[in-house]
Amino acid sequence: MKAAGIVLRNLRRRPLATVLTSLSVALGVGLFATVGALREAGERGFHRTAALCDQVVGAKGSSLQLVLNALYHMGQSPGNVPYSLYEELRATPGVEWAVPVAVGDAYRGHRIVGVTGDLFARVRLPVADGSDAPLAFARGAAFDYGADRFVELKRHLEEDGHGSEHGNEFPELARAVIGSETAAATGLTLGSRFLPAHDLTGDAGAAEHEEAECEVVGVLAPTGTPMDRAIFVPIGLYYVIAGHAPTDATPEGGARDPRGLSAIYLRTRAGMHQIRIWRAINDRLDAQSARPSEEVRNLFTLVGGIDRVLRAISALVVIVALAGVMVAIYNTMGARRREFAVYRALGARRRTLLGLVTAESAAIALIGGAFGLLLSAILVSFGAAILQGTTGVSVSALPDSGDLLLLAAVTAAGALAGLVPAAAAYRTEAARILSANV
Amino acid sequence: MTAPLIRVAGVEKRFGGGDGVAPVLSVRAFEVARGERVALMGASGSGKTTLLNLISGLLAADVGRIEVAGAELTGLGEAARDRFRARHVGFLFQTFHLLDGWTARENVELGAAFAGRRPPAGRAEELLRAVGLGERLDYWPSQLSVGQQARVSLARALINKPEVLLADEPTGALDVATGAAVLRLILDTARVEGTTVVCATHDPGVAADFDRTVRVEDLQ
Repeated sequence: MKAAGIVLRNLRRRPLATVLTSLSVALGVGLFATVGALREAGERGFHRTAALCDQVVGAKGSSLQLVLNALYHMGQSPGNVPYSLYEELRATPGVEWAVPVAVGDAYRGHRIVGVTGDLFARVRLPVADGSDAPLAFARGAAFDYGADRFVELKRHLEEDGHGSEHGNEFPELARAVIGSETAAATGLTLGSRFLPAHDLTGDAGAAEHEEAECEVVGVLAPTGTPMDRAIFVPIGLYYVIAGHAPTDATPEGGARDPRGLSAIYLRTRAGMHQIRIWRAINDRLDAQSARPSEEVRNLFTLVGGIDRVLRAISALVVIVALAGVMVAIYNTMGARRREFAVYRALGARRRTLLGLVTAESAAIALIGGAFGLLLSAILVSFGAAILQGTTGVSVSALPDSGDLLLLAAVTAAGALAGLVPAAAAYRTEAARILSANV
Repeated sequence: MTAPLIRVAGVEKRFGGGDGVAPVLSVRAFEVARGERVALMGASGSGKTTLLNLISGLLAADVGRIEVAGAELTGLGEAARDRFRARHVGFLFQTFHLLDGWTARENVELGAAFAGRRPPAGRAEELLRAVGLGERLDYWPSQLSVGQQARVSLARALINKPEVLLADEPTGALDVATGAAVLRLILDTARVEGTTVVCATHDPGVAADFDRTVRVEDLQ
């Protein structure tokens, strides 16, 4: 029989105490790991989405609101920027690509985002090995609607003098690419048709654009970003369907510009170009440029205080639970004097007794910690569903190396907590106890 | 003549410390030959148990010299004496000291836990069968009679094939018939195992079954 066998048998002898003390550790570790996992995974997910582009150009106002609305499809758009800015940026040296964005419609709560096909051709997302990869399609393909066709449509609308009641004239615009979550939640699939509604909540009864029934031509593979729960349509559709009254009546240079853009995704060449373009846009009176990665960092700095408080509380729960383990074992020391004396009579060294009791405490912490991580995985999977539902950011519930470190730390702390009762075992005077014939 | 397995010479043991404390035990000379079975008798408090604890290395002598199975215990530190005890000494107690929540087999296996070497496979079962408990390997101590508990305790003491079996009033808690049966078993099993036995007892009837009886008072 080895020391581990003795420890396990002793834990088995006191099942209620073992289960209760392990559960208290599990609760603390579960809370601690959950708070940490959701925060870290959430931040990772937000940063992953932020990698879609270098800059998001939009109306003056809150840069965070602009990024959250344009990239994460949350909240309200801060307003529009002139269409002409898009054309300017396309022609600006140092701009690799620019994707115009229009928002405002939805289908059953899934926001409809007007973009050009460049989004699917040019955007790359980080992958596990540290490199990046283009967007992949689970089914179908992207709609064929490049920047040139959008520019051509805009010119046509300007020349034609109208701009919002022409849905039937451009049936090729009624195409859609849907995210993987959208497909799962709505049942839409390749070839499905749906009516966009002029309402972001997707409530039944919202005004639907019957003239712009869209056909699904592509379903994106999961990206782990808010793109998964969005619906992408050719941006031109936003300019030809009814109900989209002009919102930007102050075009630059006096040219008629019936409608602006909600935002522009921008990818610039590395180096000085980025700063120059960023400054140039922010010097304008009618637009701003926000850096998504910076906004996400600021956001998490903002909520970091709450996160720290939650982690401190859950760490306190772990400490109290480990103190409970120490007290529970210590309280058995009186009743176990004979057991330790027998060990000594059988040849156990004092140090061995110290090790056995310490190992008992560490084992309870280890068992509790392991169940805590299991509890955390369950809580994180629930939390992940909520996080994905509200932000579109996907979070993995699987334990990572950080969780294993936490488990090791809790086990070590459990061993430390066991030192107090272990010292009592160490001092066992076997000869006196055994000769008392109790 | 072969050297004795146990040799105690000029040993004194005091408890409580201080110069004014009288020795609990004082042994001028005490020797036991290999394979011998010796009964230790004496009045209560005469130091029988203390002498057993000194021979096992559980206690350290204040002065004098103790040699057991070729090891000079008085020259060893506590940890070394513990290692020696685990490998060379088996202990039998008056109240057996089996651990609750451990089966008979587990209690016997526990005897080998600290010896630093694994006993032959099936040794615990073999010993339990030898003491007549082959059908009760997985019984809890509370499911065994007092006599059966004594037998489990004997099996535990012998699992490491010790050279010395020290027994402290092993029949003190048993009725006459059970005590006699257990004593017979101890002596027979020890003979089969080739184990030297030193048994503290206050019962002349028990002592009569041993090769030799020594009164602790006569050792001073």
